[in-house]
Amino acid sequence: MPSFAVQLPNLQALGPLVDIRVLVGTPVEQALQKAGTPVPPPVAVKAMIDTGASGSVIDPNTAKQLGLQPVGIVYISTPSSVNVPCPQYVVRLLFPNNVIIEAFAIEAPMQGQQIQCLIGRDVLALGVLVYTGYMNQFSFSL
Amino acid sequence: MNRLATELKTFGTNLPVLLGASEGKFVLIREEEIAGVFDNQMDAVSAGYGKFGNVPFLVKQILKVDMPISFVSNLLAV
Repeated sequence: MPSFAVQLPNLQALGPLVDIRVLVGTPVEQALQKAGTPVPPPVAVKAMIDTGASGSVIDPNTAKQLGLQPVGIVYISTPSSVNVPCPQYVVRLLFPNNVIIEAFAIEAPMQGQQIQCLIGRDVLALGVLVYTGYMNQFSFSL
Repeated sequence: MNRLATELKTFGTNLPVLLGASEGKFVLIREEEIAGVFDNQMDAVSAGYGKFGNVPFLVKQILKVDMPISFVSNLLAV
C-alpha cells in the first residue's frame, strides 16, 4: 500500500505540513508531448493537509510556473468570502515515498508565504490519514 | 474573472437543454462549442486535451444549482 509518514518538531503548532512536488496532470503531459512542447519541470511546494478544505488548492505562482491552463471554474466560500470564482486545473501531486495522486486543484492565493498548497478532502477521500499528535507525526496511505 | 467567460456563457445558454438530457454528467465546452458530454470529470478533461490540446476549456457538471466548495480555515487569502 503506497504511503508516507511525516515527523515534525511540533505538529500542533505547525500543522500537518509536507514537502511535495506539483506536476502537470497526465492528460496535460500527453497533450504537450503530442505537440512537441517541453513538459514543465515539477514545482516544489510546502503543502498543508487541511481537513477543513473540501478541495485541494495551489497558489497562483505554482500554476504559473507549470504553465497550467484552466479546465474549469469553481466557486469557493471561506470564512471571509462567498462564491469567489477560481480556476481549476489537473495536476499530479508527488508526495514523499513516491506517492502520486492525480487531482483537480483550485488556484487561490494563500495567507502568508509559508504554504503554497492545501491538500483537501478530495485527496483525503482516496486514503487513510493518521494523525498521531503525541508523537508529532502523521501519515497518509492510499 | 475573465478566464473561460465565453465558455461559461455558452454553458448558461445551453443549460436548459443539457439539464433535460444529461443532468449530473459533465459537459466539455471550448468557446461556443459543446464538444461532448461525459459520465465523469476526468474523462471529459482527457477528451478536452485530446481534442483541443493544452488550451483553456471548460468541463462543468450539469446541475441546476452550483454549490460552492467550502473552506472553513482561514488559509486562503480570498
